[in-house]
Amino acid sequence: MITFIALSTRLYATLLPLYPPDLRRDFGDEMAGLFAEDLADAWQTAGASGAIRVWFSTALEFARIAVPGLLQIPAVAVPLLSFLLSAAVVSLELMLTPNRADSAMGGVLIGAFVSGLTSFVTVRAGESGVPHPLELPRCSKSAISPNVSSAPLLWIV
Amino acid sequence: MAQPNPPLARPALVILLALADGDKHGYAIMREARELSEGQLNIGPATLYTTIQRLLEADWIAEVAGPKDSDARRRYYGLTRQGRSVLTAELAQMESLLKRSKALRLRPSGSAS
Repeated sequence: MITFIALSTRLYATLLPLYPPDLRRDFGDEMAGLFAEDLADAWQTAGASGAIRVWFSTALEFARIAVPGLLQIPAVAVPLLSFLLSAAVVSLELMLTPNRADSAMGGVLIGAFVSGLTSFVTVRAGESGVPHPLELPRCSKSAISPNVSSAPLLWIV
Repeated sequence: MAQPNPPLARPALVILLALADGDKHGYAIMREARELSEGQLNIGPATLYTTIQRLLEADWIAEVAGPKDSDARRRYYGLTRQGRSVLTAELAQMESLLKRSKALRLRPSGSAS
């Protein structure tokens, strides 16, 4: 029982960084302590069903309070959207060719996952200032010789 | 003419009500809130502290010192004068609505008068 509560508390602490930063900063420790206390109390009074109730309520809270904030972060929203769109498009394609549908479901998920992962890497790289592999190198106008100015289309901006 | 306050969200109302009879820490507020709502409102840690954060910002509650023998890690909260007047106004408004619904015979037959 103690192990279950300890593991649950650790898992809750792992989820805490996904809550809004100001809430986490001001009340993170209290939230984790309160969750542990509530879970221990629920286990003592109602056993496993009490623990399930606490986790269910935590999941609902997570969906209501943490998820809207997460969807405003490009590094989360863009890959998620990319994953969902890829999965939808490939699924639609498979539905239109039913004889391939049975064997290709795994392919849909892998394709969508790769798409989501690529978006995540791209967005995170953009946020941290790492140039994208397909991005052309930047150079200032002053570094370009005056002769080039007559051919502005060759400027790399 | 003063604009009437919009109705309080249920968690905020229940938390203010839980603090009406004295200062409490987070877990005591949560238990009291569940008891007051007869188990219908399941306030978890994130809802509780999001609401507490808003109530602190509005100056309706304040962080207070706990009892001498209390756990030092716990933070205690108490109702401010402003918070008490907001709660009183909200309850008065609810009471008037209840009276009106009673006159219209809209209250459930099993409820206490």
